[in-house]
Amino acid sequence: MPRKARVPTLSRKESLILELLVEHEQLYGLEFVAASRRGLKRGTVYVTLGRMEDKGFITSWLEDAPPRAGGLPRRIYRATPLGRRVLSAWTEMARQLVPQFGR
Amino acid sequence: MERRVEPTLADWQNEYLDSVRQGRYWTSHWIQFAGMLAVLKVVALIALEQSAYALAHDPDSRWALAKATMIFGAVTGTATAVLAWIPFNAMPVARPIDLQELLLLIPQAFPVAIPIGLTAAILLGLAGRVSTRTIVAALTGAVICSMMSFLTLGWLAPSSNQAYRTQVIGHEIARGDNELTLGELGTRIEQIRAFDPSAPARRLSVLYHTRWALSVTPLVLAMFALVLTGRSGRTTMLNLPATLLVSSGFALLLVWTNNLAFRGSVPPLLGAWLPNLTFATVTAALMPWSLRHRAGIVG
Repeated sequence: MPRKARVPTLSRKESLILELLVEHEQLYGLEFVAASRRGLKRGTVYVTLGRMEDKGFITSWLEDAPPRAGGLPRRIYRATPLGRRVLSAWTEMARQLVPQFGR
Repeated sequence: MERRVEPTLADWQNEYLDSVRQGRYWTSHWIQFAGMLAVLKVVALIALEQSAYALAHDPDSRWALAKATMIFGAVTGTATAVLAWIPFNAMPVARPIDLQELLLLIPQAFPVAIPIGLTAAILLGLAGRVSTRTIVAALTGAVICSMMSFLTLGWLAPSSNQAYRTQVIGHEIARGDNELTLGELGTRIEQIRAFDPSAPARRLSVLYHTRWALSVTPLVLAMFALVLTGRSGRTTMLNLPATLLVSSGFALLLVWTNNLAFRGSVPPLLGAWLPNLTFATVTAALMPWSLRHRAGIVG
């Protein structure tokens, strides 16, 4: 019997991260925290980003070289086409379920 | 796990270096503190994620595991505080107590405290309640502890050691051997050997291998404690001295074999791994005795 395909789901934090990535194109961990205006906290943001990468919603790479000598290279995140589609579908579904959504 | 911890460390380090370059003294110290909390939070969240499923499906052993977890937290916390206090208190010049400085010493104390806490948790918390489920849960916890130790020894402790030195001296200073990350330590050894192939880079090699070996120690001591507690019954009268004996025995053995390696009496690899190998061998030797007892053949 073929396995039933799982419908992708988005938590509030995941949705916020995708919205920020759509708005800013690419960000690193602490930029999410700053841009979210307390919606995301340092510590939890990296766990959420890791989980979203596992789900295929976002992709990441290490910056070429640290901007200044001494620091480790930062990991930069970008939304994948799947992530953008999921966010779009999720937003549309929320709009239909809750008429006030987005007003 | 690496994908979650590595960006935390990179952002923390870059944010700290930026604030130091901009001369924002107090901000840089706040960043050190907040960054350390963030790393610990990430590691704890990963551990919770991985253990939540197992615990949810293990109702019979939940109380024993909860007790063991509480003992682990209490003993590890106490041991960390004591081990951080010792070097803080050993400063040659009397200084007022600075909580922030003390916090910066926690990462170097944490990997030594973890095996002590884990041994106590198993010997005192799981005494007489060793089952396949508790063994699996304890070993899962030990693996998580090993990963936490590895991250702390490899990256977190060197970074916080350097922050402590900078804070005590009052300005940026060059990093010492203990302030190099695991990767940097490996690179430094290669550079020394490339410059002079006959150079043993002994001290650095001992430090390098000891960090790897200490990362595995929680798992080794957990297995040793599980074998002991499988035989010891429900009483904790003997398990308390056993905890102290195992922990201090391992620490003394590590100090001795490390000293032998530093002096060149044994190779660095052996000096670092000998305590783990000794305890693993004793565990393997005691295993049949413990299994026979559990099966009810003995005692």
